[in-house]
Amino acid sequence: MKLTPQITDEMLQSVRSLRAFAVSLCGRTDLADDLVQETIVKAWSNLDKFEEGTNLQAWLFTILRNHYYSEIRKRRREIEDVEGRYSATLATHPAQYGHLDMVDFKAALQKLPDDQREALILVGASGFSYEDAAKICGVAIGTIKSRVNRARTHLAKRLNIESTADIGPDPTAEATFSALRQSSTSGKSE
Amino acid sequence: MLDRQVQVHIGRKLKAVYDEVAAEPLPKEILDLLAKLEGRTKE
Repeated sequence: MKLTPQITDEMLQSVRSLRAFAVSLCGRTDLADDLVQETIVKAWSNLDKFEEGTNLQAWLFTILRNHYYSEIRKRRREIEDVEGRYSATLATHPAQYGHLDMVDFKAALQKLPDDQREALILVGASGFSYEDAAKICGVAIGTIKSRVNRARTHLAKRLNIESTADIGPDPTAEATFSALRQSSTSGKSE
Repeated sequence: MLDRQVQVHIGRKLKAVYDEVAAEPLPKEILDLLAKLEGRTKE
């Protein structure tokens, strides 16, 4: 397979999603950015191995995932070891940003076992079919399905949202209901 | 098996977290690399 403008275009379109997947694997953007760059270089030099007509995005995700487990994960542990020793000497922890709800969700996501998190993200966020996700992770479709189910169950437990009642009212629907209630009471008083 | 609405709720949150990262501007190193790649295609 040669590098054609069409392939380059497809690569460009995949890069943002590829980077979001890299961040979910690495849990940090500095390493994720290294991972994306190394993936692009790898894909570029192995383009002759890409089978034309197959899913280019899935091929890129496969390269990225394999490279993460063979190289980047080690680097991550080394960095976190050094940072762990350093942060233990600091009195305060860096502030967390973002909506509390989202912070909780991200923390729960990071606590999932690696195999469950990647399956959930590939299917639920990157938009791959179970079949493509299975190919990317090198496992059977049934394995991906059960990992996705277990990941959802874990998240629901950690976030205490095991039933619909725990989710809380939808703010938009709630506003509509209260407006309706108000108009019906004012109607009766006339 | 989880409640369908709980699944939808988790799905939405997951997509929001992912899309937030996907919407970030790409770092310069990646943009430079992609520009190089595009340049090669045109040669």
